[in-house]
Amino acid sequence: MRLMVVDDSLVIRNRISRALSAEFSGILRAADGTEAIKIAVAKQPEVITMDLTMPNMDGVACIQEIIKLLPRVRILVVSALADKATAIEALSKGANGFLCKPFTEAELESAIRKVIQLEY
Amino acid sequence: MKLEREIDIFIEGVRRYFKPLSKADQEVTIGTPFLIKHDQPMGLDYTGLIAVSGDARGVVLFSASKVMLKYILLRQSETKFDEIYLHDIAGEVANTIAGNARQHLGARFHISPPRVLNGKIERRHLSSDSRSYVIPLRWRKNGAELIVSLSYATS
Repeated sequence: MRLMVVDDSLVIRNRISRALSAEFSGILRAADGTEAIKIAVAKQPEVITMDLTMPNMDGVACIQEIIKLLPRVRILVVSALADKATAIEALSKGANGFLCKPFTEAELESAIRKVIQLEY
Repeated sequence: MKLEREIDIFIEGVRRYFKPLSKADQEVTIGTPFLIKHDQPMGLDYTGLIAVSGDARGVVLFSASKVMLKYILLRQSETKFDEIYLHDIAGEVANTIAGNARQHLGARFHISPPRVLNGKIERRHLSSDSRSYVIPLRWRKNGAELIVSLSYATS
């Protein structure tokens, strides 16, 4: 399975990539929603971690577009936005899980496993 | 929003950010918050700035020394400390603390993606019609400041 990490923070992209490198055969990275969509079309990752507050295109808009392109993709939102309404919105728009920043590597690994194990 | 309640929310955000980074003897210590006086110098080496809109308007800034930012990067397993990384982590800390505040301030506390300032913060970076204050903090013997400058729409 391939993972795409979408976050405008280089440090967060590195951190998530390092933490999950053993779980995936390949890791792709994007710094905003626009780049994420281009990579999704070209490389078709099976799993995505998605930040919400990003320049150019925010995470919720990106989720909606990617779901149309890759209906079976699993998306874990990884965001600092800690209010329930945001989590509910992201999940209603197609995300499969929500992890709030700051996170530990153990929390990230647990959240990704839950998203991967979801059945349709 | 009472000032004391707002300060408590942001102190909680600071503690929450540093908790996963800290070993037992390295907890963040929070100093006494203080209101910013006119012409008071503010800011350290790098400052992450988050613009706030919606029910509140203004900015939230996280300003830290280069050394503290390097320690934060180290605790996130980074081995590069050039300016692009220092900028990035200053912005990400500000983004996380401001975003976490939505747990109490609600979804209409809209935050921007971060931008980063080098050096001292100027008065023009703060909201002109709001109370502005500093929450000083220390972590691993290095200092940082969370600066909050917010006003609320009155109904």
